Amino acid sequence: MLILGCDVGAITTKTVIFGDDGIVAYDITANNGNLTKVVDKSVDNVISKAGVSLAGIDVKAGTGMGERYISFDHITESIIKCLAVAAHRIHPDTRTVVDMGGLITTVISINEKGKVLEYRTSDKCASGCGFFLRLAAQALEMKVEDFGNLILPYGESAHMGTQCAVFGESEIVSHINDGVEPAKIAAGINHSLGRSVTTMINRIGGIKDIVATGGVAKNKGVIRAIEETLGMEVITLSSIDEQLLGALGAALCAQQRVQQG
Amino acid sequence: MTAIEELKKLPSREKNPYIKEWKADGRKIVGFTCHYAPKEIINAAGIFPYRLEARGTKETGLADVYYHRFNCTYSRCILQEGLSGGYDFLDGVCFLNGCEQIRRMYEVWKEAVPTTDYQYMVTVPHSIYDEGFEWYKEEIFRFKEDLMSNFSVRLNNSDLQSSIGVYNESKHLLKELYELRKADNPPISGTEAMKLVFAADIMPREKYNTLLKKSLKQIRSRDGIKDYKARIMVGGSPLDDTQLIEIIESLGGIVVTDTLCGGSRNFQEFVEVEQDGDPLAAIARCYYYSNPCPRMLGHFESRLQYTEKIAKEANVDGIILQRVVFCDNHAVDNTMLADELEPKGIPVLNLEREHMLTDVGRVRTRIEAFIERISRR
Amino acid sequence: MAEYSDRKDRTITTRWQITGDLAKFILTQDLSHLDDWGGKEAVREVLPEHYQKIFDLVQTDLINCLLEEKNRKTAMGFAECMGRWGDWFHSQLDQGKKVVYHYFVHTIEPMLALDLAPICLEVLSGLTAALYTDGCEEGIDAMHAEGYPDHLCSSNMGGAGFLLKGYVPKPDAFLKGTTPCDPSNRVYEYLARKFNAPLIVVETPYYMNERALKFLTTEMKRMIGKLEKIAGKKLDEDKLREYIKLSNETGEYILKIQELRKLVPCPDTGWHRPADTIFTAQMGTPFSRDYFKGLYEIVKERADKGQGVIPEGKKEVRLAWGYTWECFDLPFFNWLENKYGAIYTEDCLTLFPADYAMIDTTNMETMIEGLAQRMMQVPMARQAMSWSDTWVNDFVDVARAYKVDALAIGGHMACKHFWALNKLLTDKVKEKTGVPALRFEMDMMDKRFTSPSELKRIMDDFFATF
Repeated sequence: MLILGCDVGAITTKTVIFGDDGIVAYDITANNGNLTKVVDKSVDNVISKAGVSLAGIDVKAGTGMGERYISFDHITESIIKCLAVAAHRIHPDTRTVVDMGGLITTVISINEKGKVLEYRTSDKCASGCGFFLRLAAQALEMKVEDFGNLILPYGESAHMGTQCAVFGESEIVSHINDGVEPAKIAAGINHSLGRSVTTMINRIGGIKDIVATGGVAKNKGVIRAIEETLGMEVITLSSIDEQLLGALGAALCAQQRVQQG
Repeated sequence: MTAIEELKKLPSREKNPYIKEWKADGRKIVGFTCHYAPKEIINAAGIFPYRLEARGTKETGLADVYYHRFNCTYSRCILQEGLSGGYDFLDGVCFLNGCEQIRRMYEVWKEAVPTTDYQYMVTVPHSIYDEGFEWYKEEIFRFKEDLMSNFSVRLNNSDLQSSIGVYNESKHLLKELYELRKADNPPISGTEAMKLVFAADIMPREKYNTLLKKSLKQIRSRDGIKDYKARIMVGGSPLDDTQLIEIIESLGGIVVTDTLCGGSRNFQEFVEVEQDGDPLAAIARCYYYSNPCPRMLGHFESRLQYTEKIAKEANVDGIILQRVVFCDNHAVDNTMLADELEPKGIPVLNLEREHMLTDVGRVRTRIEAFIERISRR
Repeated sequence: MAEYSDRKDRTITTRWQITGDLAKFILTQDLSHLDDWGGKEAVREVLPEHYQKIFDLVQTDLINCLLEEKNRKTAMGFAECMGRWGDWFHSQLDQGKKVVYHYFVHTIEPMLALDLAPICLEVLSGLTAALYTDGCEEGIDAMHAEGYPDHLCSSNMGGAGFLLKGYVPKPDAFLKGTTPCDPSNRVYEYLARKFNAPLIVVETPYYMNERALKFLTTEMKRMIGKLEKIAGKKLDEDKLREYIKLSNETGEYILKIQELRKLVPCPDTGWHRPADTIFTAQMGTPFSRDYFKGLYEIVKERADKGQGVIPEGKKEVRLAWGYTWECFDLPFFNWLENKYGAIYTEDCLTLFPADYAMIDTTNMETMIEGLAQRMMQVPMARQAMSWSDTWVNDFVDVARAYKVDALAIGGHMACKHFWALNKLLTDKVKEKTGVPALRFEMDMMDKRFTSPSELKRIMDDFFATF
């Protein structure tokens, strides 16, 4: 059986094709204005990589905040459930999933069967998310991908105290004008995000194994900052791109539905 | 170290030498959260009243687990200090229902800061009238009784009178300081003056009076500051450090007065025992009737008059009304004040900030533009 | 054809009158959904002209929700009583009665007895948000344009903006209890100043004991004295008794309905629950009494037959709303019933305590003390004015008595005191009852903050994992 799972997020659309032996192909496409077109493009990319046609896909599933922009018929799955199911599938000892996306961070507590026990999503504020990293990277004239390598102890990083993404950008500019090295500012931003995420984990009570997913999970600086503040290890999955858990989870949930009839 | 230096450099909380000294003698310290706390009573019981502050607090990770981003950073920073051990030295806290942000801290603190053995809530009516005064007087009476019982201290009228004397002396001295600041060429900057003012609530009051007296003598002998562009008054949300004042003065302003609850509101009236004959009633009367706090409903006119009066007495060129993001009381009051003061020819800058003032560039830009507008030269 | 006022200062209240009449008209047609006749446009074509403009403004989803069989009777009762309220209010204005804008914690019997025309500012915001596509955002934005920030409460800001725009009558006075919060206090203070109208403040004490009741009783007397000055007459005991008897009757119906909601299956629908506040704010009027009497009869009839309000075959999920809800999407609660079998037990804004005061009408003293007692029991005000125990205990009681499966808490963004308690509250309820909570940010009146589609997405996620 071939299943397509599509996660339409805030900043990127992720699509996977999942078969009997695992992921056959995947695609990550940056979002721009017309989400339906982005979804179509991502799906075209993935079916092309898999060497199949859309008609050849047995089941199609969609999730994410932009799921309603998927134009073809599909099963809708809750992103929370998708993340839980996928994380449990890849790493069965997962008990806390920390998904750090473009606009939303979600912390999910799951049991040994991958069932969701409790969850929290971040507030309507981009200051703890990937969106803020992008803003910051622009302000620092760096690539977002390079932020992860900027790991400095908290005391050596520029302090980022602001609570708001808009004020945060202003804070970065202040640091730049004060002559603070961009690397220190970036390290400070990593710490700031790390602290925000740790607060969310603490609200729900993080139990190990704690697994990080989502685009921001690729940032080792943020992961290190969370570990330092939380005092616990945070696992990033090496067998799958961190951004794909939502799409994989959609495919797995849809598979479960079909199998249960 | 001179008296001024000692007051200016006085550190907060665990680094504060007076706290160490006080605790070493086996004496008690009770924190309080707002200006309506009857400090004279706490002091009369031989207890050091310490105003909860969050000087230097940089982040709110622990507080954010309980509070939320809609709660102002001032309240979250104070809670952060409580949760991270910054207030472990306290033997108790007197909470008040000063504002919505802080009043719920009573319950959160009780749940999550186990090092504080004693907590009490003094409730203050939200408007100013005779029956409200009776309520508040009863509240502080009950607080006094509870304090005595919990800390096994005896406290009589003579102790209260004595304590009133100490705090009235502070008020005289602070008034003098503010008088000096009114000069055309003030002998002290706003930054320095506010450091002296903020020290009052974080050290034993008798000692503070001694140091402030000495400081005033030193200040009087100084040459005045001539090099400034504009005389400024600061009002709005509580400030517990001088970072904002420093920014204003680095841009050519001189802060010559304020309407802050940690500032001039502290000494508007003296506790006059003669009127009621009863020191507790006199304390209640002073706190209740003479604090122009925007939490009080239906008293905007008196706050407007107070703001105008303070501004005119210090001959200010403009007023900076700042507020912490999500501070409802000052958000509305500052806007209402600005709308009435501007047409009277008193320029006002309405400024939003976080408690941890980190986006300095934005704040500087706004203040710089304001000073340019009101500059004398 | 009914005559409707074209006065600008009756824009909002006239809209409500027309909407009530329009609703009654549509509910008597042979329609179970607008699509039965070809959709909104087709139905519009057959409407009398004076209804068409309002029809365009009313939320389509709401109309379809009210046309559902299970909702029709309640909708008819609501439309009937809302229309009667509008007629009554306009007749008060025509008689030249002084207009007093009051906060919703105030019971209005003294104002009615003094021949004043009371109107609740928050109902102005809430009902327009509930009924119309444009909601009360115009009012909110008018206040923003004056420089007042978005972290103030939209329940006050909507109505306040309508005052600024002249869509509602000029105020002769404002009446504000100091519970529940600073944001509401500040908006009333601003309005009183702006319109140069007296602000009558009623101090609500922090506690819920004998001392507090004594204090509040004195406050009631003070309030009455000030209202008398506005009205230019003394409060007549017999008249007050007449209105209190009505509000007693209304209170009895409310408590009976609450008892019935404890049944499984729950016999009451959810769509009207936020809108019930228009009538709880009018307790003391015959149409408020009639609304709750009618509602009781509908709910009792279902209860007697053991009927619920969810589709057959669905398992009932019993939700309680631990704080506020959104006012701008009433069909949302209907959607929850139909999609998830999730019924609405109680919420913080309309939950009357079981010992809600039936006021002793023996004499003026007993009536005034009863009014004071009531003020300490008004929904939301009672949870806000005092220790968090009140709130926790209320929802522990609800969780147990109503066999609640989950607590949904739409945290209104302006409520700083709630948000300071959010974790304590939900942890304690879970600890004592095992009931989990879903918390999310929203704005009660302003749908731009958390949109109707986002609310549904939040609930979809919740039920997928529940």
